[in-house]
Amino acid sequence: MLLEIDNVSKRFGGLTAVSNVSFAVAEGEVVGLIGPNGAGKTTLFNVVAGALRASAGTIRFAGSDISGYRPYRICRLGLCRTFQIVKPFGNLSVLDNVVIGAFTRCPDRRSAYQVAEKIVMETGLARWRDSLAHTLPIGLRKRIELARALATQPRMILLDEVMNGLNPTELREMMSLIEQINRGGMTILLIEHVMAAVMHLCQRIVVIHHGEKIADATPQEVARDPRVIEAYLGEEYLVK
Amino acid sequence: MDALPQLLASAIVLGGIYALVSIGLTLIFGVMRIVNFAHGEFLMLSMYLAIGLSTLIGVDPYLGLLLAIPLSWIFGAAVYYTVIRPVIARPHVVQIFTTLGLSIVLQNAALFFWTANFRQLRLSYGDRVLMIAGAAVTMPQLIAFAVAALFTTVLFAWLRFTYLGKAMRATAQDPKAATLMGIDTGKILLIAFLVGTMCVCVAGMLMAPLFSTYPTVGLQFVLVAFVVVVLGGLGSAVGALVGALIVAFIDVIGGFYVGTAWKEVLYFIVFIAVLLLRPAGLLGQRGAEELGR
Amino acid sequence: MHIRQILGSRGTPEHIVAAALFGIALCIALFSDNLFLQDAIILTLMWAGLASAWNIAGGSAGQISLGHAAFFGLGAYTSTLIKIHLGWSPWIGMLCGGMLVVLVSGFIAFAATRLRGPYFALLTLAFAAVVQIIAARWYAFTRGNEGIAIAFQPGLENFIFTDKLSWTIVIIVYVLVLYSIGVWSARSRFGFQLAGMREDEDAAQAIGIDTRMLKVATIAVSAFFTALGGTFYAQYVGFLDPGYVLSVDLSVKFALMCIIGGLGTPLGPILGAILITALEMYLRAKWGGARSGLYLMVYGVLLILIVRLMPEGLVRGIPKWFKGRRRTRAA
Repeated sequence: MLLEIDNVSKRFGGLTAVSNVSFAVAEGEVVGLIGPNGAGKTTLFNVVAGALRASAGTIRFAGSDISGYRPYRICRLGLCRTFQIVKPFGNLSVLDNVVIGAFTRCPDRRSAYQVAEKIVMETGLARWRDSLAHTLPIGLRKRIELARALATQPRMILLDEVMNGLNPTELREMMSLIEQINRGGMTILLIEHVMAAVMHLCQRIVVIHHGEKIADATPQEVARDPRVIEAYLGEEYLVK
Repeated sequence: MDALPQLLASAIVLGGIYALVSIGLTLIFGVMRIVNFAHGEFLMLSMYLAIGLSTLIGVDPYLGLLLAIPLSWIFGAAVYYTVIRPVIARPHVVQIFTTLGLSIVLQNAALFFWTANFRQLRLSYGDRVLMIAGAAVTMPQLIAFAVAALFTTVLFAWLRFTYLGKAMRATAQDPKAATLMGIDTGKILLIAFLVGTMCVCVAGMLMAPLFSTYPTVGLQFVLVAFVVVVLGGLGSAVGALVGALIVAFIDVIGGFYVGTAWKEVLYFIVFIAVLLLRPAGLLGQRGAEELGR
Repeated sequence: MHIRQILGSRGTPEHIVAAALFGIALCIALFSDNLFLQDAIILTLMWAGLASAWNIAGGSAGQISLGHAAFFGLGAYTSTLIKIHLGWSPWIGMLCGGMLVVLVSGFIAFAATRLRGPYFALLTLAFAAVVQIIAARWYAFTRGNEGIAIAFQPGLENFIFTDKLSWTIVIIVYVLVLYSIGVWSARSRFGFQLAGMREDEDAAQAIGIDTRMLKVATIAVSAFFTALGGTFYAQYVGFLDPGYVLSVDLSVKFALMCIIGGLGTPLGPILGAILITALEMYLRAKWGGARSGLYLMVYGVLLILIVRLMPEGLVRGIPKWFKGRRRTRAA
């Protein structure tokens, strides 16, 4: 198991955002993390990635305990994340964004640029290589964020709603990009609301509801799970 | 401990004044997310205003409040539209140096027009002393405390119960949500700035009989205000009140034991400690200093 | 626009301007008889160096410090007090001062790593205020508000020269070192990571950049060179007044020069220093005597306008303006 999340809880004062969640991701897997809004998925990501400290529980990556590590250290160990609300380096070009990511592993400019150019090509960003990140639309900015994370040459990436706000074409492109990265050996844990993408890409799905894990199975099994259906339909009902 | 009642009285009076100065600063930050480095100069200007009103119209600062408050609104609006509003959404660098620049302009304008001479507002009844629970309190001190307490109470009530007050608190908590609720956040920002300016103006008028007035007097008190505001938590009005009392106590009691020369060091050390250990202050939003906005 | 442009090392045009400026300074030092002019050059270069030092933290790393006067003053006082009490050469004292501020600033940067924007600025402000109060009141050690006069004993080991040329050479070396640091960092891994941190600290951390160490490094280096400049000031001007040498006004001046010239660029602080020093001399000659404060008022207005209208400073603003004109003419 590459990533092991063991009885992790996160409390904010009186509010328990994540409660006793445990699951694991094996090397090479694509696992989806789904659940109604506010279920605690991004909080869990933040804890795993080091942005937040777990109130309880441990997280192991590649066998070593990374609980409490700071984000940059976790990234250097090979676990990189993207943000739900994209944070590209706006005033820098697309290429430079990716170069900065590459510098995490590459000691000098030459190799960093080499790695960056390759990734820019592979993620289909070559056309906008020299454009400033903040001038580009959301779909491309999500790709920049992904490319930048890939440049750190991780073993596993955490994708936080990377399909959010994309039009159907962009969606298809992003999905094939994710498949492509996975074929290359990348382990992926993704938070998603676009069900079609989740069903198609993931070998396994973990469902979180009110901070607790309520399912951990293949897409087909999860789709039939009564607790999952209740969680989603129940929410919909309340909204009405 | 004969000195204790006296020290307490001084601390309470000072606390009331510090509270008034700091509440303005914390409101402006809480709602606009801008640290107003020129806040001390607003104070300085209102102290000069008090002296001016006394010399030109023979009005004492307490009565003069009736004139000073509307003047503070006009001044605040002028500053808001020319200097503050253009930089509201801009990066930190721009905001910091804009208000800093304003502070420099105002300080040196005062220096230019009124020279560096220390001035003191003397009231005819300024030397009347009352004995309260073993402490000697001068009339200006008593009035300053009474007015400050009254003003602060009214302000808190306004924040708590009126629509505008609630709108301001809502905007401070979540500007986007506030807009969605139909709150005109642009107007709220202006009002926050005006309220903040008004508070510090009132403070200045109350302080004029108690402290010397000179162009850089703002510097001294703004640093105190920052200590208060950071201690209480940027954005929290109650925090400013609590912080003001704490700082006033440190000021008076520290000054008693360590002497005026070193007491400033004392509350700067408190300031630095708070910033390093608990930047959110006692009552502020945790993590505000990290999120920045 | 490439990162190299953002970080300021646009290559040839900037270097040519810089080289020209250094050349002019040297020529005046070598060939001119005008003591006033030579003095002005030395002071301008000193401010250029100090601004460049501030730029490392404030411009390149985005850590706005309003307390750099503390490092300046600490450098000045350390070398001076060491000479007075231990008799050591100010050159050694200068290095001692540098090391002292590295320790102090490094500690502050490390402890304050969570503080962003105005919070960090406030911390530096408070720190400088504490240093100033201590220097002004600790009479026994620092002669308090009276200040310290440095005895005029010319000699290389005393770091005091009789001829303007020697001073000029020393200060040119200082500025050159800082300029080179600026140019190097723009092209290096360090500089790139710094740019990322400046753009978005959270994103930078997420892709493996240890932002805390970057901050410590840049602030320590920045403080180090500021302290060195402080010693130069003490030796050249010969008098230390805590009310000036540790003042907020001074800290703001460092920042102002960088903002006008161009934050984060190697040439920016030099241009800013030239402009501000010239402006200051002009205003002081015109108005300073009569009623002080007027030229500071101009500073303030300048600060407000420039930071709002041309926040990227002259180094980037001027070429942009020219490009704009060329486009309209062609159209």
